[in-house]
Amino acid sequence: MKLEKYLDIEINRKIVRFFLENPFSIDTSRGIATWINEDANKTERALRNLAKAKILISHKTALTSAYACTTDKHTISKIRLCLEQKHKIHN
Amino acid sequence: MKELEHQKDLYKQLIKSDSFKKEASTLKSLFRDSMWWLAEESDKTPILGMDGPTPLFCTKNPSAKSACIKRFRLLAGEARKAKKPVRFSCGKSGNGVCVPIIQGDKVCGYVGICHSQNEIQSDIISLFSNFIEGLLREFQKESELAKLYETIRPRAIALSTIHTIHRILSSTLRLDELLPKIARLCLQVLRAESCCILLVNGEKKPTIIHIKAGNGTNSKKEDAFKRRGYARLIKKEVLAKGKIVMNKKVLCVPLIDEDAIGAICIMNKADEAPFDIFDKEILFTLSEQAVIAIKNAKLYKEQEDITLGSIKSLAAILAARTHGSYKPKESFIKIILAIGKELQLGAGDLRNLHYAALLHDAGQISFPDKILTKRAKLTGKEYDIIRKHPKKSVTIIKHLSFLKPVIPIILHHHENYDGSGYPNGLRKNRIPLGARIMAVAGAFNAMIAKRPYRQKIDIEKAISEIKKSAGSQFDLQVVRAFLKVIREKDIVGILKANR
Repeated sequence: MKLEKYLDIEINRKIVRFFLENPFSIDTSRGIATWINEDANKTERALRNLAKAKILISHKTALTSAYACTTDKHTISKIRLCLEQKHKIHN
Repeated sequence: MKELEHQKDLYKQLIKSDSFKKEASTLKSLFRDSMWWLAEESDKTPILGMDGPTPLFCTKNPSAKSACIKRFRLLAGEARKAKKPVRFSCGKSGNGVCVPIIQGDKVCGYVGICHSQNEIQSDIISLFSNFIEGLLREFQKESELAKLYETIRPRAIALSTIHTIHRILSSTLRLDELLPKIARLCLQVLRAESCCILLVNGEKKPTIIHIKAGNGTNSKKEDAFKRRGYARLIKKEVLAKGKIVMNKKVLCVPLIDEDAIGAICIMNKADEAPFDIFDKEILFTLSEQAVIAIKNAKLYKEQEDITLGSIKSLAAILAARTHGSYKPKESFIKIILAIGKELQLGAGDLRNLHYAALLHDAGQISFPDKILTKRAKLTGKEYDIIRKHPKKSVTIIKHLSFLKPVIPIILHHHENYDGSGYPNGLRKNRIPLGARIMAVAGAFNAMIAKRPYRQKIDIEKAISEIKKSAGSQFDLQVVRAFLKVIREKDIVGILKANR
């Protein structure tokens, strides 16, 4: 799936925005669900998909996975651009 | 200045709030023909009407209008001084009141009512005034909560990040997995382009790991790291003196246990900004967590080495007693571990398999010498003694609690897939996988080894014998894995060397 398609989904946009605003953050799905005020299971699924698409990085802990923003500059600038375009369309 | 802005905000919030509008509209119905005005606490701000930007006037005469405004400003001044509503007469039969909007001890605006044809009762106005105060208190609380949220949220996110980092680092006890993890986390948190971790290994060459953002380990970059003289900088300043080195492009902190055991060095921030004091603090915090994780991994490795060493010593003692017939061959252990890896066993299972391979025939220590050295075929009675060795092996190792997971492998390594083995005649998947692996490798090892009662057989013939028994004596998937690994270079090399 293309980046644009991932960012068509609202929860994905919320997660990605959270990581762009807090690029240093590394958190579990439960933590991120709290920060973006979303259901934990939905957030977990979305995080897994975003990590598969390499929009996020997944780090394994003993019991779960932790997620962080990609460190790839090129991907980050593409995400920013895509989010701006989506914002313009929605407004 | 900030306080003034805050009061203005509160005033705006009040006049826009539905509760205020609702209350005012109720009062309007009590004060017949009344006109409502709103004004901020400033002589310069315009006076607004309750339902729009322009107030209604009871006259169209411009000079009368301006006199009205002037009077309202005077009454506002009185209300400010008294800090309570000021009533007044308006025209021939009208009544009015100017209610100050008070927050704490500050007046932030006024509500004016004029031209009411009913008397404006002081207890109603007092209730209205109290209502406004209550609303303002609520807004004040909301605003304080919002500020608190703004202040706490980034700290809570940072705290959660530190906690998560701790969880990630404590999830691994293998140094080769841990160091890249630490480097990736440093890159993530500090948004840098590359990270290098150097670990001192006593007299040995130091371990250097270099990770670049967005990629895996990059050995070319590691060379660049050395060329730029960063390694020298780390050795001279960070390791020798335990100092933090920071310049625009490089930030390097020591990993201090009692002495400096290494260093973490990050280079080039992704946004090209120079490293600052906050980065220094963050990397130092990370380094403290990293030291604990590295120490744990080293201790774990030491403990594993001690355990393996003890087992090897035990195996050597047993081999000495059994005239060498017990001693497991290097090729046998290699084949077992290679099959385990091929079948994607985890690190713990592979370790147990290794221990089992070393101790599987420990029970042979109970065999009489005449059986161990007998050149002729074993009698039925002697064979019965041999069949007891898995249970004897278990009796020997069962007192070592860390070998508990190894017991089923050792106990059942002579079971056959079709149920014809011993000691329990287990079939198929009821036989532990480790034992099924040992059965294949053990049979191969026995065939290619010389015994007092027979000659060793050719490797290819032994492989073909194993193939023939796949699905009957041996598990088919284990045989498949065996056939794959037996052709691997290092195993072929060991087998040739052992011939």
